[in-house]
Amino acid sequence: MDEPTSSLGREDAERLFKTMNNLREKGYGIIFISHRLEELFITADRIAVLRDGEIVDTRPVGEWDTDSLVFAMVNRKIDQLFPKREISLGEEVLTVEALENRLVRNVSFSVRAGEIVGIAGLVGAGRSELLKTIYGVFRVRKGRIRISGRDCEISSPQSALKHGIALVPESRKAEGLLLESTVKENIVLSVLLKISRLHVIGKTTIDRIADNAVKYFDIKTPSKNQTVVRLSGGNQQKIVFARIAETEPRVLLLDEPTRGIDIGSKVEIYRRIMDFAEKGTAILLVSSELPELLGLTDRILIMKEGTMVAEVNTKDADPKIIMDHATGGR
Amino acid sequence: MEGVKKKKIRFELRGNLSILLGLIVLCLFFSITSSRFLSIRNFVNILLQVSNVGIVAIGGMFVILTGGIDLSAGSMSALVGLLMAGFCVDNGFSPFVAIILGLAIGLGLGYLNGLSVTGLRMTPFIVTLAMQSMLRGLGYVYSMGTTISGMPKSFNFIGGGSVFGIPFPVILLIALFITAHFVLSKTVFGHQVYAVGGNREAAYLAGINVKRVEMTTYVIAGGLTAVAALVLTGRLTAALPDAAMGLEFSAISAIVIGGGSLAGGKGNMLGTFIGVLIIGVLNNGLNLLNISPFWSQFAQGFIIFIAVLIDALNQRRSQGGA
Repeated sequence: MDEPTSSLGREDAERLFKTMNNLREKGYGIIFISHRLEELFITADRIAVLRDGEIVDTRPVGEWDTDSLVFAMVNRKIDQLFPKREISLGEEVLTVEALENRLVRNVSFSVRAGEIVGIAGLVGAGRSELLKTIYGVFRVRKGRIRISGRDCEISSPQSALKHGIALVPESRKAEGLLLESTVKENIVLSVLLKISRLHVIGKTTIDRIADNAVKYFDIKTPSKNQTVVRLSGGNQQKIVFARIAETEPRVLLLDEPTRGIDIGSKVEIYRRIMDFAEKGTAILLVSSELPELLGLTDRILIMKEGTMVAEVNTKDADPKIIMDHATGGR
Repeated sequence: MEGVKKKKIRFELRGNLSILLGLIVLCLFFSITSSRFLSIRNFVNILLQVSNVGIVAIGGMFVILTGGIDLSAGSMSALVGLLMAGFCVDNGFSPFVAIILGLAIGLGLGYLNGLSVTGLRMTPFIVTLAMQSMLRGLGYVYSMGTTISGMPKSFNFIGGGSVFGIPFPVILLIALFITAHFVLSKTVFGHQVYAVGGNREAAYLAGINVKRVEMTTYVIAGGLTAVAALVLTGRLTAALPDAAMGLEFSAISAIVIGGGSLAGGKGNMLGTFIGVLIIGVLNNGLNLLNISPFWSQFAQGFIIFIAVLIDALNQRRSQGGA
C-alpha cells in the first residue's frame, strides 16, 4: 500500500486500519508506506526506513519512537526539524482591516517584516479563502488591505504580485505547476515580463535563473529541462517555491506548503521559509499540521467559520489550546 | 545520469522527429511512384497549394495551444475575401485601403470570437461553430450568391504575384511561420500561451492575465484568416461566397498531425508547419498519381487517425511510466 491514507480523512483512515488488521489476522503480509509517522506506530509490526533509495534501518515498532524515526529518515535530530531562527521583526508589512466577502467575515490582523504568522483552523474554516482573498482571487466586499501602510486595490493575482504578494497554493498539481512543462519553464513563470527585454526572453537568461534556483532549493532533477510531472512531490513543491522566490515577495502566503511531501523535503522547505523571513518577508502560514505551526511561527491566528476567533503567541500555545479554539469547545 | 540525459534529448527530438520522418517517407513514396513529384518546381507548387491552409493553421495553433478552437476560419476567409473584392470593385476603394479594411475586419471578427469566449464565457467550439454559419450566411447575403471579380492587378498580387520567380504566398507563408515560431518560443506571450494551455488555474495564480492571452490568440487567428482570404482571392482573381469551405478543418488537421493537442499546451510551430506540408504532399502526390480526390480526402482523415493514435499511445506509456 503506497500512501493509501494521503487523501483520506481521519475516519476513513481508521476504517482502513481496521481492514488491514483483519487482513493481518487472516495471515496476509502487508507493506504499508506512509509519511504520516503516527500511522506507522498504529499499524505496523516492523518499520523500515528508506533514505535516498536505500534501507537505512529496520526495527520492530517497539524499538522506534518518533525522534529516532525522524533521525533515521533525515539524518538530523528532531529539534532541528523546525529550524526556528531568532529574527528581529521589522515594520508592519501586511495589514488587514475588517476584511469581508462571501467567504470570510470581519478579519483583522497584521504581519511584520520577518514575522511568521500561522493560521490554524479546521478544514472549511476559511483559511485558504482568506489567503486567496488577500491574493486577489476573491473580491473584497468590505475592509482594507494595506501593504507597508498604503491602501492596495488587489483585483487579481497579477495585481497582488505587483504589490509584492505571492501565494504558494494549497494544491501544487492543480494550482501551482505546469505539470507537462519543464522545470525551468515553471521557475520563470511568474517573472516572464521582468526577465524579458522588449518582450523577448533569452534562453541563457532562463537557464541562468533555473540553474541558480535548482541549486538554492536543492531540487533533485536529472536536468532543468525535465518535465515536472516526473518529479517527486517534494521536488515539485520546491519548484513552486523557486517560482515564488523569483518574484521577491514582501508578503508570502503559504497554504499547506508541506502537504503530502516527504520529511526530508519538508525540512528543506522549512529552512527556505526561514530564509524568506530572515530577508524581511512577512509570512502568513496556513497549515493543518500543528507541530509545523508551533515549530515555525511567532503567532498563531485561529479561524472558525470564516472568521478569526483567537490569537495566541506561539510560545504560550500548545495543540490543545489551538484545537479548543478551532472547534469552539470551551 | 549520463544515460538519463541522453534519453531526454532523444525524447525531445522525437516530438517533431516522428512527423518529419512521416513526411520524408511520404516524399520518398511519391518520388518513386511518380516521375513528376521530385522537383523544385513541384515543391514550390505544393507550398503554394498549402499557403492558405498554412496561414490559417498558424492562427489556429495559437488558439489551440491555449485549449481553445476556432471553427470560423473558412467562412470568415470567404466573407473577408468578398468584402475586400467588393470594396475594390463596387466601392472603388484603392486596393491598399480595401486590404487594410479587410485585415481590420478579420482582426475585429477575431476579437468578437475572443470576446464571446473570454467575456461571455461561451464554449469556444460552439461559439465559433455559430460564427462559422453566421459569417458564411453574411457572405451569401453580401454577394447575393455571386462571384465578385475584376479587382485591379495590384490587389491580386499578394495571392497571384511572384518575386524572383517565387510565388508571393509562399514567401508570405514562410515568413509568417518563422515569425510565429519566434513569437511562440521566445516571447513573453509565447510562454503565456503554453502556460494557459498547460494549466489554466496555475497560470492565473502565477499572475498571467489568462483572458487577455486567450483574447489575443483569437485576434491573431482572425487577422491571419484575413491574410489567407487575401491570398486566396488574389490567386483566384475572384471572391466566391462558397470559397474556403472546410478550411478550418484542414488547418486543424495539420495542427493535430503536427503534434498539437486539442486539450492545449502541446506542440510547436515547426510541427504545425510539417503537418501542413504532409497534407500538401499527400494531396499533390495523390493528384500526380491520378488518384481520385475522393481518396485524398480519405487519406487525409486516415493520417489524422494515425497521428491521434500515436499521441494516445504515447500518453498511455508516459502515464504508465510515471
